[in-house]
Amino acid sequence: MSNRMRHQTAGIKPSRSGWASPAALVGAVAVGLLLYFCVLPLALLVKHSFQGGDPFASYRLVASRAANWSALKGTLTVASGAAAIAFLLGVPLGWLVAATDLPGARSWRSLLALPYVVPAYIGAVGWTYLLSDRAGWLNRLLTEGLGAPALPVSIYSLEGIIFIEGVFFSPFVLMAVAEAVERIDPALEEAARVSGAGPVRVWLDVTWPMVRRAALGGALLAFLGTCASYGVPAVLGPSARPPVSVLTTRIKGYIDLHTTGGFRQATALSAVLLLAALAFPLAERTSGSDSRSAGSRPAGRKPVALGRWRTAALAGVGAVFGLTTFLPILALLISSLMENVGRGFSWENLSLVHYWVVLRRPEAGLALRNSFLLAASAATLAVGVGGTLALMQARGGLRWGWVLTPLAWLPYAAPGTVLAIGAILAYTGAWGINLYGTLWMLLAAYAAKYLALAYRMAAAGIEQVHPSMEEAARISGASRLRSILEVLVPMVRGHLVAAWFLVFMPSFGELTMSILLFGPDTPTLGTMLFELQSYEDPSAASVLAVLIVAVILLSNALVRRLSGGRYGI
Amino acid sequence: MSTLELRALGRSYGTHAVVTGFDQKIASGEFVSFLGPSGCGKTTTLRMIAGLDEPTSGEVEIGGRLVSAPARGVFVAPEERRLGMVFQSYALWPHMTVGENVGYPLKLRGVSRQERDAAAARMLELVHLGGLGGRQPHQLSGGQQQRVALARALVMEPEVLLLDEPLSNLDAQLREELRFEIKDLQRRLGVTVVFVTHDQSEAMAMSDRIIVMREGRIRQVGPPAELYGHPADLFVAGFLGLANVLEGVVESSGSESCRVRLSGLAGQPVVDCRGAVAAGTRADIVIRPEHFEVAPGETTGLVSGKVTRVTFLGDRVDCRVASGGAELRLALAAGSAPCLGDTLALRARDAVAFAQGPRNG
Ligand SMILES: Nc1ncnc2c1ncn2[C@@H]1O[C@H](COP(=O)(O)OP(=O)(O)O)[C@@H](O)[C@H]1O
Ligand SMILES: [Mg+2]
Repeated sequence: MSNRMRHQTAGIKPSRSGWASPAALVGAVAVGLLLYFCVLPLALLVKHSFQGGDPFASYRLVASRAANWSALKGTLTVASGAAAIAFLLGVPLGWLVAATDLPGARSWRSLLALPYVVPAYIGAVGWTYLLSDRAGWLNRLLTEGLGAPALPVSIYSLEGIIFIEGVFFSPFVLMAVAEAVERIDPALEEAARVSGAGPVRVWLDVTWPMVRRAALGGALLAFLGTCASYGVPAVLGPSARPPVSVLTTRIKGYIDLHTTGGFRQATALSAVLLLAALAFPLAERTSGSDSRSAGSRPAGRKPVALGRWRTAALAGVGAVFGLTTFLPILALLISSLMENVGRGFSWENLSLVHYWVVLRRPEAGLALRNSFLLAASAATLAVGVGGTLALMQARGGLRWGWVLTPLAWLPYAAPGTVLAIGAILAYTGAWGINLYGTLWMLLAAYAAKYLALAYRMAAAGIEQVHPSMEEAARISGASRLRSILEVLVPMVRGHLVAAWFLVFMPSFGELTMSILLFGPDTPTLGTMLFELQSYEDPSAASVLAVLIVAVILLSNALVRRLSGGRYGI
Repeated sequence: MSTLELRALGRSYGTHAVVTGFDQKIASGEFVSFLGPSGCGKTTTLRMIAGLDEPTSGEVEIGGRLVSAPARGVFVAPEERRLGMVFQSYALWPHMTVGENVGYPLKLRGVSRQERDAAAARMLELVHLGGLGGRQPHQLSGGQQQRVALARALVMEPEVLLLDEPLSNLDAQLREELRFEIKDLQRRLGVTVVFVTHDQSEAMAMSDRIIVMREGRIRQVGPPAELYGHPADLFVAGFLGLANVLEGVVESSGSESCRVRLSGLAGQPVVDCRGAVAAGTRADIVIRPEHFEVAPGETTGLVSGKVTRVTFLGDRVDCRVASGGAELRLALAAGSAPCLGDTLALRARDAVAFAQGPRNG
């Protein structure tokens, strides 16, 4: 550790004319972008929420509305419920895939973590085909097929929202638990066995205490993630009886008023929601996800033999995966392929007509192009800026270098809704720059939001390269910039590629920020899907959902391929 | 090839001075070692020469060109210093072949690909790695990697070659082999070498001159034999070669020598020492293991002690002798090996006395 610290300061020093050098210029640009895109929006948001003669006027106004209190209650209820479900699913599953001889444990781990890369609102859309009041296929199966008394379970409900959020955030717990289990020295458990403890006792007395922290950290991440989530409550909440309202949907409602007063209340609510970001570093650290980019560790432990429980465990894991992840995605696929959803399942009803119709719409082409363009640009920008910042932090010998990390994390910790409101404040007129309704607006939000992912991955790569690698190039005659481009960058290429996809994937299907920032000429797949789903054409929506899932899964497969299975899900 | 001059060079981190007042001229074609315990500032000094670290005071001049002088606002970037450097970790670039590694400094200077390849092949030949240019660095052994690093450092015929503990990651046999190879290369190419090591045998085997450092300061400079025979202080004496460090009271003193009665040893040992220390004061005495001899029969004025360990080393015998509370280390000729438990009377052929001052460390 002390060695690393030393290298940070003993690294390459700027020459006397340092500020004019190309490398310093690149660094200055990166810091400028960081401040403008990551810090400014959130700073303006907080400032704006306190504006006016009485600085607390907006807050007072917000607090005087019962609807806001019920939204807060909704957020807390959904988030607590989802965190509990994520915990209950993630702990046993994480342990099963990491510690036991479950058949196909590695593949199950990837499959069960899939919701990590697939946007939750897409799951929600999938579930609407399965469990909407009367028309849902599962409901029909229960009532018509099995002749059960009409007992329709509706996904349009508080419980439905909680269920989907819990499922989609369970990978946070699962991965935290799996990695914590792998970190345990097997000798500790073996020692307990030798001391006379049975397998259950060992689990309770040795394994669990060492996994608990990570599991709770994962659950806290699930809680915060659900607080920030917009898509699922927006898809399901309004049609629930009684309607479910949460802070994010409430903020969107205020924005939709298109009034100054509405906007001020939105900023006040956003500032309240921003408080969630405070708990984020704690959640990251305890769940151990801040060290995740180090890649998977070599498995040195002997798997726990499940014995006669093996088949039962396999069935359980399969059922969980099938019911939580596979089924809704399958439902989307099927509904996108059904010519007429009302006509039920039959070969004659199968067709590609919706794909044809959707893709021929000019708006769809535009949305597809926008989403690709935005996700690719955001990924490139985030890798460029994040990589530069990580480099400055590791090698710049800067006394203030440590502030870069929290600043880069700020937008990631902040709920997307909040960041988007900040972006509206920052880029619509401030300093003569108005990006409203342009792709730049979305690009700024995406790149800022996911900068941290690229930053962390790049930092992990740089950490593995000893500074003497670049120093050897300097001595050989390379300028600082050249030593970075020709020596460091090729050496961390794998990390940079992984970082690019880590930003590309969530950006491609992004909804939360896009819904607040898109304009008539800048629809994205996410916003278009959302509008089709809410207002006109669920079949078309499922076509887009299938497209998004396919692109994301393809990207994920590509990352795994390129990194030899070290990155991706 | 060129000279290297360090003038009052200093580096501190805040108030913590790591290198202080480092003053030294190194001649063209000279092989100089920085020798000292770990953390004494050798690497820092080397990095200041290389331009990888900036001095906080003093000046560096390479071949008559001022390259670092903070007081005058001069700092020449490392890439413009025309140096070769070998790092402790080799620092071979894993994304380039061995040949590309060696040719990279030429590439940076705009040399064509063909010429580069030819020069790299020539250099690899020189370090006995002919034909391995197409390999990846990780396919080579540690010793081979070190040779590649050496070839890369030498390929553009640098003015000065800097080596930072280049052998410390190798096993003993390879270390010895490479010592001579480096020395041989240096003689053939006539390059000025600064060699950093904490291993005194390495420094003594290779250097024209050794600069002994401690806590960021130069303690003594000179050819290996001079440092060994005439250490300037107890630290240098102890750091170069094995030494028995004893204490005594000076009985009489001349201009260049003194006679000291050793304390804490059995017998009534009195030795004649080099070094003038005032009569009546206490002195530290250094006696090299090979300077003890066994005196059969006599006892007066000699150390007496009991042999506690005998290690046969082929050409000589390493003995431990307990005398009073102290343990002495002796290197005796192989033929005259005593037996375990023998009582010996010992005489010192050579000893050096140092006045006992307020000790620093
Ligand atoms: N960046 C730094 N900050 C503070 N102290 C440092 C730094 N770099 C080196 N040092 C200190 O300088 C001293 C000399 O280090 P170094 O030159 O590497 O020693 P050597 O090469 O002789 O082992 C050490 O005590 C080390 O702790
Ligand atoms: Mg060193």
